[in-house]
Amino acid sequence: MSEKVYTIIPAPRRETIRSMIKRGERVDGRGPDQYRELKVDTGIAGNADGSAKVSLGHTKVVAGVKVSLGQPYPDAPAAGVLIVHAELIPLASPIFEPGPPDENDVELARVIDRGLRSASAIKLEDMSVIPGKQVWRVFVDIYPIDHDGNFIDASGLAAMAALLNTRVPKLSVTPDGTVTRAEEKVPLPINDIPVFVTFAKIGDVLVVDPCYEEELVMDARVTFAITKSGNVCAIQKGGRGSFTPEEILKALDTAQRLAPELCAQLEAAAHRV
Amino acid sequence: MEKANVKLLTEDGRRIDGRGLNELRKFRVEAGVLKNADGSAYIELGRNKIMVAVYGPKEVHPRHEALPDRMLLRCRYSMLPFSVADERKSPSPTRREVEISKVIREALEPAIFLEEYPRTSTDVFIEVIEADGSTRVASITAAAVALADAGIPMKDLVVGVSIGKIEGRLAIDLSGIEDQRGEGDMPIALMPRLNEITLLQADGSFSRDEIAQALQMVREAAIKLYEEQRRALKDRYSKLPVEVEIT
Amino acid sequence: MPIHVSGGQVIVPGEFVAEGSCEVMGPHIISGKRYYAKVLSVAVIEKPKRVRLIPLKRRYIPTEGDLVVGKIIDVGPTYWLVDINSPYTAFLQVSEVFPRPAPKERDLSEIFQVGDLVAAKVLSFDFSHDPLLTVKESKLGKIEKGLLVEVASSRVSRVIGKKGQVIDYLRSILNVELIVGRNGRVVVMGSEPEREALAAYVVQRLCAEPYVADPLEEAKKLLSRQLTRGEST
Repeated sequence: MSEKVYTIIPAPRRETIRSMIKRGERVDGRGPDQYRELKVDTGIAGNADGSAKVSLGHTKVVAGVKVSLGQPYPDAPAAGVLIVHAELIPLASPIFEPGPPDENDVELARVIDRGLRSASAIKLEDMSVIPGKQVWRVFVDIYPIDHDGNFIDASGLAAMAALLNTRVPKLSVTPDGTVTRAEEKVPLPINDIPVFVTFAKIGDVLVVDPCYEEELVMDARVTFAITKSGNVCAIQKGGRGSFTPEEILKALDTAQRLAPELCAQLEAAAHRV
Repeated sequence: MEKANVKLLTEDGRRIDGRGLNELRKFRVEAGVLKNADGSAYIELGRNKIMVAVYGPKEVHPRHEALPDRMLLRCRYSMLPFSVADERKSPSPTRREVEISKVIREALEPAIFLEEYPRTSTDVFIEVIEADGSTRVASITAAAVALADAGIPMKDLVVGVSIGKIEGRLAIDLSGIEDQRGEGDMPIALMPRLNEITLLQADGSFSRDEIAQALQMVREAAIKLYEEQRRALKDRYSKLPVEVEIT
Repeated sequence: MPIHVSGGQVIVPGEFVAEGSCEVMGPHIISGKRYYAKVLSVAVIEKPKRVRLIPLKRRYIPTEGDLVVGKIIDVGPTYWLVDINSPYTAFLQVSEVFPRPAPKERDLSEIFQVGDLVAAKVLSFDFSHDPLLTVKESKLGKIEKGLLVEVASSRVSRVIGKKGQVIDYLRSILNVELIVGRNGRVVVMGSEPEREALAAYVVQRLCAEPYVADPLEEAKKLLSRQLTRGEST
C-alpha cells in the first residue's frame, strides 16, 4: 500500500510521457537509443577485495566483492565458486521495503549471475586451489543506493567493474597440501566483460536505458547481456506486455551497437587507479 | 589472536595511526547526496564510509503502528556484506545490527519534535559501505544531518563520538583495531548546543574519574564534528542564489 | 546585535538566530530571550530587527479551504483515497462528488480511476483525523489533461503571485490556464504543447529558489529569457 503513492503515475503525466515517446522524445531529453551518462568509480570500499560505484544518471549502484577459500560445488570440484547477491534496499527508494529478499531482488541477482556465468566472465576453472577440496569462492554483492530506473544494467556494470577491480592474494600450495598466502595480490582471471543493455517498450516504441518514470509507464522490458565479441550471453524479458520478434531483433541490434562503448568504459575505469 | 604483541600506544603517546589521544581521524560529511530520499547524508570518518537516507514524515505502514500523538521514528542500521575487514558478512540482519538500530533511534529521538507530525513515520536507513570502528557514532552524526536535510523539526543536531581505553589511557574515536584490542569502548552521542547526552554505552572497565574525563574529551571532539555537520548543510544549500532585499 | 545571522545564510536546526527585542518569523525555538532555528532554513532580514526563517524543505500539511491537486490511489465502496503529496492521505467521499445522494451500486472507478488527478478543496483536517476533500464546487473535479509540474509546496504561492498576478500574466502571454495546488502540484493547460512547456518551465524555475522577492518580475524575466533564446536558435 505505502509504495502505491510512488508507483501510481498521474494519468495526465502518463499521457505526457507516452505522447512524447510517440514523437521520438523522452522526458529527460534523450533520443530513444541514447544511453545515460555512465560514471564508474572503483575501489570505493576498502575492506572489499574489489568494489565499484556506478552512476547511470541519477541511478546509483554499489557492488563489492569478497573472496575466501572454501569448498567447491560437488558437480564442479575443480572450479572456483561465484555467488551473486543483490538487495533492493529501502535506502534507495521509497518503493523498496525492508525485509528478506523478494522476487525482484532474486530476479536481479540471477540475471546478473547468468550474464557473468554464461560469458565465463571469470575463468572459474583457474580458481581451484586443491581440486575437490579448496577453491576460491567469489561473492559479488550488489546494492542500489539511488533509484532512477534501469537497475539491471547499472547492477551488471557495477558487478563487472567490481570484479575487474578485485585483487586476491597469490597462493602457493606445498605437496602435502598446505596453502600459504603471499603478500602479493593478483587480479581475478577475467575472461570476458559482459555488459547489460535494457530496453523499455512504451506503446510501440523501444527506448534504451529507461529512467524511473519510463519504467512506470512501460508495457514490458527486455535485457540483453552482450559479451566483448558481441554475442548474447543472457536475456531477460520482464513486465506484463509482449514484444514482436522484429522488436526483439531491433533491440538486439541497438544493444550490440551500444555494448562496446560500455565495455570500454569499464575497462578504462579498471585501469584508472 | 596475536593480541599480546600489538602495541596500540607508543611511549610518547602516539597511536597506531599516528594520532594523539584526543585526536579524531580525518572526517568529511556531505548533505543531500541522494535524489530519492527526502534527506540524506554521507560521512567518512577515517576509513569508515556510511550512507544515510531519511524518508518522511510520511504515512505509517503498517497503519496500526501509527502513534496518535507523535511521529514514529524508525531506524535501520546495516552493514553491507563487503564492508567488514574479515570474511563476508551475511546480508541478513544480525543481533548486533538490531541493537545498534535501536540505540541509534533513541540517540536521535530526543532531538526531534516528534509531536509535530502525529500519526506519521520517518524512516532512517543507514548503510555502512566500509567499516573501521565507531560506525554507530559516525552513523548518528550522519543521520542527524540527513534528518535536518529532510526538513524534520529538531531542537539541535546530534553528534556521535566514541572514546575508549588503550594501554590504560583514554583515547577519542577508536579505530577498528583499537576497538578490537583495546580495553574498553564507550560510544557517546550528544546534542552540542544543549549539551545533553543521547547515547551512552560502554564495555570494558572505567573508573568514575575516567568517565568524567571521557565526557569532557568527547564534548571537545563533538564540537569539531558539529562544525562539519553545519558546513555540510550550509554548503549544500548556500550555492542557491538567494535574492534578499531589506524593505 | 540582536540578530546573529545574515541574509541568505543557511541555518541548521538548533542554531542561534537572534536574541532580545527582535522579531523572528518562521519556525523557531525560544529559550529565554534567545531564538534558535527549528528546521533547516534560509534567513531573510526583512527589517533591521526582523528576521524570517524560510524552511528549505517542508512537507505539505493540509489546511481547511486549500485548493489541492490530488492523485487517486485507491477506490473504496463509498470513497476514494487521494494522495495529496502530504504525510496525510485524504478521503474523498462519494457524497462530496455528487450534489444529490450517489447513484447506488455504481462502480466508483467509473467516475475516478486510480491514477486520475483531481482538483479538490480541503473540507476539513486536524491531526487526529485524515483530511477530507470535496470537489463540489465549480472548477473542481477530474483534471483530464495538462502538464503536471511538481514543486515545493512551501513555495507554490509564488506561482499565484500577489492577487493572482503571475497566473494572469502567464495566461495573457502564453494563453494557458493554471491549476495551482497548495500541495505543490501545478497543472498547466493550454492548446499548444510548446506554450504549455514554457509555462511549466517558468513555474518550475520560479519555485527553484528558496526566496523570491517579486514573483511577477521574476516570471517576466524567466519568460523573456526563454523567448529570446528560442528566437536566436
